[in-house]
Amino acid sequence: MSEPAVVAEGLTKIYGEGDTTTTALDDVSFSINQGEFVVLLGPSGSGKTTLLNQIGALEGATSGSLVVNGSEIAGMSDKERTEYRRSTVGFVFQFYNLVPTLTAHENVALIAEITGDEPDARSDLVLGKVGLEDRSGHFPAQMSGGQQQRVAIARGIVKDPPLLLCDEPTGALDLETGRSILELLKSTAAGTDRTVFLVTHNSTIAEMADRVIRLRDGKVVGDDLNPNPSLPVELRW
Amino acid sequence: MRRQRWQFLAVGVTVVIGVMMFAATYDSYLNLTASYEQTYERLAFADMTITGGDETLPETIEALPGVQAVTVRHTADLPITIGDDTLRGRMIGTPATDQPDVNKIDVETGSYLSADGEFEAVAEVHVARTFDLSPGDTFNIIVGPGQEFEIVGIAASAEYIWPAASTQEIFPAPEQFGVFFVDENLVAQLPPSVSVRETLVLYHDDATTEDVDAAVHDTATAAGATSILTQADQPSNSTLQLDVEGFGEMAIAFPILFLTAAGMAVYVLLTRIVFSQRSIIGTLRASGMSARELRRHYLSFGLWIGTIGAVVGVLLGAVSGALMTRMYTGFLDIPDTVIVIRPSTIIVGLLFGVIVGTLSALVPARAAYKIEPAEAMRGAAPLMSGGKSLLEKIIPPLSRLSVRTRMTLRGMGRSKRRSLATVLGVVLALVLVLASGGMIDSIVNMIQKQFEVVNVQDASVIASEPVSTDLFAEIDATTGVTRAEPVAGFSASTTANGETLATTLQGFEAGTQMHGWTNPAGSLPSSGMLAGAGIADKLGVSIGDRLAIDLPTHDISIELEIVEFVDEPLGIPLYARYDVITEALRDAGIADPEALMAEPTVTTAMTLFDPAIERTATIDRLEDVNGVLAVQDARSLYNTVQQFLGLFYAFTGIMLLFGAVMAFSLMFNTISVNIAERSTEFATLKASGMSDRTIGWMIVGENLFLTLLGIVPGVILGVWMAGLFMGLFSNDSFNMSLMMSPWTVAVAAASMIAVALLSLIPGVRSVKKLDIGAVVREQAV
Ligand SMILES: Nc1ncnc2c1ncn2[C@@H]1O[C@H](COP(=O)(O)OP(=O)(O)O)[C@@H](O)[C@H]1O
Ligand SMILES: [Mg+2]
Repeated sequence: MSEPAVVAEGLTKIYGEGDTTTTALDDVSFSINQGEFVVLLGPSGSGKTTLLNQIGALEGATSGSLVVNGSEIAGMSDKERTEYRRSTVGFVFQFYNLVPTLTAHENVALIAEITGDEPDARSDLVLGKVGLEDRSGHFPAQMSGGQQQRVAIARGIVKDPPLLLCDEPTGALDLETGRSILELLKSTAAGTDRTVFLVTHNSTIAEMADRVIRLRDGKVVGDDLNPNPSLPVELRW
Repeated sequence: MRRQRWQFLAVGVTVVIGVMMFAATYDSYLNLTASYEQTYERLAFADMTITGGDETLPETIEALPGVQAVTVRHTADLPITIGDDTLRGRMIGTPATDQPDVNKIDVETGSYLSADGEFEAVAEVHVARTFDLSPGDTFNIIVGPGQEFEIVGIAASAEYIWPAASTQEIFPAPEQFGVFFVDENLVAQLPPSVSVRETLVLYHDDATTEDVDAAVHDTATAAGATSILTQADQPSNSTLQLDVEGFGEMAIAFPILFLTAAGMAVYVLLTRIVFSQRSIIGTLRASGMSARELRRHYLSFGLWIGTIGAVVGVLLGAVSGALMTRMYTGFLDIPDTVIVIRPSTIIVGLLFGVIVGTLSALVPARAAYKIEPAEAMRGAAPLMSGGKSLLEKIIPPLSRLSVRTRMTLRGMGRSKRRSLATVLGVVLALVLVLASGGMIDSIVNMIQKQFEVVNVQDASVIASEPVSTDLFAEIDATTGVTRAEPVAGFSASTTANGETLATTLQGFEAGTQMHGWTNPAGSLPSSGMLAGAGIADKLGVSIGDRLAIDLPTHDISIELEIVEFVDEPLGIPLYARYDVITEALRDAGIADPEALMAEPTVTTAMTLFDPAIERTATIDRLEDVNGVLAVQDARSLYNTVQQFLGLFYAFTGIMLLFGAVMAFSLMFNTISVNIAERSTEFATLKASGMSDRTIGWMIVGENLFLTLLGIVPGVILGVWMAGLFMGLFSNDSFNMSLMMSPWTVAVAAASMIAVALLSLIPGVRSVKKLDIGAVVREQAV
């Protein structure tokens, strides 16, 4: 058995100082295997985004350890974090966050450029994978929310990262479109070693996960493997 | 609001400087004008000064309507010595005991001439200061038998606030020219070849100056006057007016630049605030706040910045205006200093601030109340539409550049108005810097041209006797003198098309090395004369015209043709070859022109010095030559000007600083807003592993490009503006044309780039400090 993809041990994140502190993550521990599709489930304010940001090395931890592919993230310098984010993680956000002055192709190529050769060819390839080969010259304002999110996914996977981190990627989309996005996330990970983290407050979505980690008030209140993940089309909201 | 603290401060500072500049310069302008007027009024400064004309002229003029008083006096320029120094003393005849009706003097120390003391003199303040004279000191006239005068008082005169010797000689060297007021009876006794008779005319206060000017002018011309000077053309007054007008122009032009910049900055800042508060605005609208209230709320931002900036600016302006006036009147020895705090300046200054603040808040405030509540409350801003940049459309191969570079190019098009604000900031700052820098460059260049191209002699040696062959040989042989040439100089006056020009006619040797010739041929013509280019405008004459030239000190008139024009910075001089003048004199019926050409009052020798030998020693040796009256060091004024260069550059420096502040304020604001607006974008790119440095370069590239875009029109407009100012300053005495040093342009442009980089530092640092986690969580716009 290969080494686990992500291992958290006693991970704690406290925001603020003095009297007004918020413990967003409280002694969180888990171990995720490579290639798992993990759903982080919990009500609003339970610490899901905080945990995802920890895994993406966007913020430092207060205490505890977080090891990704064998490397400890906690003690990384700014430079190492940038390098880690560049090589290891792809992000997909709720509001897509595309650069409005760049076309779909350019949005993807912008990231492809900083992570390897032949950015154009690689970008075309992933845009094909997300079903947007005919929209590559469009600007974000000319695309629907679902299409924009596909571009965002293409941007997240163009560097072929071992981790894909998605924060409420369907939160701003209607049901049908949301389903197709989930489908896409699942299909692009299928057959690869890519571990996907998907944050949601919607328990229905959890049914498609290999593993569901439940959070409440910054604590892990459940860590369950799902032997029979359902397909996104079968999900009922 | 707290996040925008620095941006508000930057905008506020721009408003303060703009209003302060206005209040200070405009008040100074009015104060100076008032100071001059008070002095002129108190000392009954002549409205018209007429030289020559027949005996009945004063009576005829006194009878003209609008004329209040006429004073007749005689004036003579005579060589004098004060201690060891020899100089040209201007002896102005003034009635003993009583002040004249016109052109009174203001005795500051000692007393006025007394009735019985024949050889008393009152020294004018400039010569008194240069030679440290006080009552009881003496000077000697060294022509004829010689005469000692005792100084009884020191006085200021409205005619010599700026100590110009004549319209042609605005900058006599202070050690070589001094004005003294002596008993009119003495000066009147001098032969007409030495003294001139002047008729000073004072008008009634309620007379229309132009009408009386015209009547007096016609009368004097008919009476054969050799020079007719209105108060506006009087050399001291016209020189001072240049300065005062300069203040006046600056008082309007520069503050407008600043306030425009401040307005742009307020606009950019408020647009950003409205944008970032759009969801709050939506909520407020939904809860029943009226569009009116909302608009008033955002307008009040602009109003407050404008008002606070204006109040501080007006206060600082009043203080610095008073200081400027006092420094100025002190520096120029203007007898009266009028400092008034004018409500009108305060009100206009305040209005400037308030109007700029409100006007620039208008568009953002309108944007605020036009926001649809439903749309605004959704939070996320509507996506801006993308598109290729203009540059990429023009130059298709650019699309092969890296996406990063394309993003940089397109960043400029994100907010066209904001990009325009950055460009405009650079343009306005450059106009400010170049307009002032260009003026100073031109003045420095003008002086340089006068002394390095035109008047190339090292000294003029004035002899008490005709410059005989012996004396000439002795001057030539003096250690340190490499060359000496005889030069004839006449006061001259010439009339054409009803206009009279009082000037000088100088005769040089054919191959002179004492003067540089700026006419196309580059040398003196073998017949006819050269004239200053200004003569065309002044008299309406052109090349090929024959002019009758009166030489009043000899009571003769000669005729010479204008062959070419010379382009000299100072005055409108006439030049001809020595032998050409001699010939013209013969044609005019003078029996022995050679003798006339050698008369002591018109003949000087000019010399060139050996640079290896100390200048002052050479001058001392020349002064010791028997028969030499005075040695005028041609460099002494040049040296004085060089001493003031530091002051000039300090002025440009201050403008550069102000310009930099203005550009900084605008750029800092536009860049801060730009980065704030794109924080999500940058956070996302950072989350994807893009380094701070790459993002920083995109921001720097975008804004440097905008800066460069501003530099081009800024330089063009700035140079144009400087040329405009120079044109305003030109008159009979100064032929100003714009001579802008490429260094000034380079320094100004480089400063703009430096300011741009400086204003980028906080922005680029904020990218480094960007809390990616917080930004992506907030989905902040
Ligand atoms: N930068 C911050 N400063 C202070 N508190 C924060 C910050 N970011 C998040 N929190 C708090 O941490 C808790 C967890 O937030 P978050 O991880 O965003 O929750 P979720 O994504 O599950 O909705 C919340 O109580 C939130 O208010
Ligand atoms: Mg969240």
